[in-house]
Amino acid sequence: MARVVLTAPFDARFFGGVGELEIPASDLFALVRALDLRAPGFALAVEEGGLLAVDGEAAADWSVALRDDAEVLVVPRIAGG
Amino acid sequence: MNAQSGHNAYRVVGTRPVRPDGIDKVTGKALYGPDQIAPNMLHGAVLRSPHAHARIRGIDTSRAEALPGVKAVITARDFPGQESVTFKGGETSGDRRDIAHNCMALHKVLYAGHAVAAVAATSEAIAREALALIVVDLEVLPHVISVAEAIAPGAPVLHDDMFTEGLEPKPAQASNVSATFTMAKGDAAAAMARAAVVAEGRYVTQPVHQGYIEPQACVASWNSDGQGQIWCSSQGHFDVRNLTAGILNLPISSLRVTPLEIGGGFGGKTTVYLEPVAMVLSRKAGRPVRLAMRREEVFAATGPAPGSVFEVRIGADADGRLVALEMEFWNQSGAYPGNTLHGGCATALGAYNIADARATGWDVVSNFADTHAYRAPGAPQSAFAVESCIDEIALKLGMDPLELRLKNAVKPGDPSPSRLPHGAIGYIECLEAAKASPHWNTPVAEGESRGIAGAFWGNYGGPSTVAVSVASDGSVAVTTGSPDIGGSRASMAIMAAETLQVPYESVRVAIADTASLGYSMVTGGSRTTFATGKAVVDACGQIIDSLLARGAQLLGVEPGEVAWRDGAVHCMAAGREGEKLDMAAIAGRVHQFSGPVSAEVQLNAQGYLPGFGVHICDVAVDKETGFTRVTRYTAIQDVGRAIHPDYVEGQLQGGAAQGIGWALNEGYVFDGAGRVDNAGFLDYRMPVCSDLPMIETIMVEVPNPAHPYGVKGVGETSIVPPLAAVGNAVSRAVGKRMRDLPMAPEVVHRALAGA
Repeated sequence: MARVVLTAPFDARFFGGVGELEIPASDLFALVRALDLRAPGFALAVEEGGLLAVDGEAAADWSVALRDDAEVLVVPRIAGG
Repeated sequence: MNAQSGHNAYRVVGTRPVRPDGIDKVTGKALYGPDQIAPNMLHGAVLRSPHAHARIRGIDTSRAEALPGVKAVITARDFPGQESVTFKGGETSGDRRDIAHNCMALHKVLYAGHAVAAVAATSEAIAREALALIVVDLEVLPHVISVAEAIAPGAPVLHDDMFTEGLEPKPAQASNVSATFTMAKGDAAAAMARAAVVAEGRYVTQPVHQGYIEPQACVASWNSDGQGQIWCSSQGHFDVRNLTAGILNLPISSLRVTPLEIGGGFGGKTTVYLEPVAMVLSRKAGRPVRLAMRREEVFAATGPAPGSVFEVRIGADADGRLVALEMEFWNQSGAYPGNTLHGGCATALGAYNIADARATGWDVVSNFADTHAYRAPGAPQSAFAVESCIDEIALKLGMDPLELRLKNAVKPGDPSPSRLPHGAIGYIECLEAAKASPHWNTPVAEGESRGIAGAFWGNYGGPSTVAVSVASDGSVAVTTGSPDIGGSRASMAIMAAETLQVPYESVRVAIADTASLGYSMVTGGSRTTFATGKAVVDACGQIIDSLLARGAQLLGVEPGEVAWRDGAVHCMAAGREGEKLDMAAIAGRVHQFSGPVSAEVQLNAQGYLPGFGVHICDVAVDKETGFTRVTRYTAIQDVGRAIHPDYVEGQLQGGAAQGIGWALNEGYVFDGAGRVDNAGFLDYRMPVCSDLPMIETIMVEVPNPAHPYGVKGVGETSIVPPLAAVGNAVSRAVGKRMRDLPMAPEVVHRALAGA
């Protein structure tokens, strides 16, 4: 069961301000799909402007298997120049 | 100079070889956007709105079309219909419909300079003559420029379908506020109430342009079989391809974009302005078309950095520990929604440990050109407000401003603005280097004053593709998809030479067109030496593996009996030590193996680390005229590892010079009709060499363990501190906190006069 920590704007926009959730998921694709079922539009928003970090490190590959007790942080991507 | 005098463990990394593109650039052979010529090429020109806000009632192009020499005239009606689609290009996203309508206005013009029609003709003179024959029927609408005007009740609304994102519930009425975003931790208000000292103020900055020397330009050719080509300079030709193909409803693979040399970008060349227009002209005319902006078009129609209004409060305890930050800001983002809210918030919270903080940003559109990144988007404005307040706290507490920063600076393991713990960052090391610097240890000269400011910027990684191949003579070709803006050809060659243990001169680097290599993200976000460099090192590793395997075969020994050293396969088998095969001896025997010696690597680089910097600025303010002269300036930055120190120092100096201009000279001036009134380098005064002292640099090297050579991005951080470093110096000279930029002579004069 991954522990998902949602930061602004994802917590307020999709989960009524709830910042933490427990989600069973084999990888980040499955986790985002599960969250999208609860809050339709979440998957698209994360794909377009989000960054996922697993256990403190930004995830480059969403298909990598998640540990049962993984902590997944959802944060916005920041633009660069 | 380098802050550390330790032994360089590398052969090539950290050296300063001659830049590979130098000869072409100093002899004029290098091909930039406006230089490109195609056979049978036509010359294009763009008609732009003189009004800041107007509804397009109709456009009559008949007289222009009848002019001899004119081969095509187009308006937005010649483009496919656009749907709102998020374009996932760089580090962030944008609406492709907005980008398309920014290239050519459909129903409304949103700023003076907005394109409304374009012509292709046999000469530029004819094309410009034809522009004068196009009749545009415009219903002029009231316009807004400043944040205050744009958010005032009853203000004219630019986009009828824009409702503030981030507000719950969704607003019932459209407005000029496109989005809001908050980054918060703890209880800022309660902590502020407990603070022993509080510094607060309203800080205002103006839109400023990136000021690249080379204007936007391209040549486009769209054949009747549906295939097209574009030659242009940009920060990312793969995204030029993807954006243009999307706007024109073309299969991406039907469009090939060839990168040309780029004469500066700084974040301003990460989108398209001319490319889709030139393509549509080309299709209509049946010939290639070149479009190149004039300088006034660059200022009026391409994205400056947003202006901003910041209201900030920072509290500290009596010992100088920062305890609370409250900040609200409004970004003046131009005609379409911007994307600098996150950067502004992260910068405010990024450099110091403040347990209780809240930063809220509002993105505001108004009637001037759509804004874009300028090195670190949203950060210089935010740092100006925050670092000015920190200077004020130091004054109130009677503390050394450097010691105050040292006391509060983030270190590895501390939470970053995203809540992820900081990795191997070097802000403390930068502050210590500043403290030990010759500049800081030299007393302030009589009649001068000194300011200091710090910086945080997040940097980025992202996707890159590279290919490395070994020719039959053993020389090495590295091919990347990352346009070389800041010396990446040299840094890629150095990293390849270091990895392969061959001379720098035996490695040549080319930037491939979009049909010749897989996708690479823009050269932006300070990512290229980190991300593309990582791919180059990985590819060179694969090359070594291949050469070792082939070398073992040729030597007739087991794979474990060979080793890579000095660019050759060395035999380690008992009794055969000393035997070796160099790269030519192996790569030249391509017909005896599975194919040529080459490797291609694709990656989505993570593990990037933020950049931190400290700038020290001395100024002399003429009390009679208010003119400020920067007399000494030092830029200190954690660069991870400087692959080619000349280029890294150049990035530090360039960002500092641009930031000094932002602080003292630059800013868009609008006339009463909303037109840019200083759309040229004579009136838009950027600092030149004669305006500045030599910018001294100190490179602090705290290597990034996620990169084979420790690289951190360096291109953006250097523009974050100068606004506040200069502002803090001028404030101390004037004896009054300077909160409005630019600090032009008349502004400083007024402050000196106590007005």
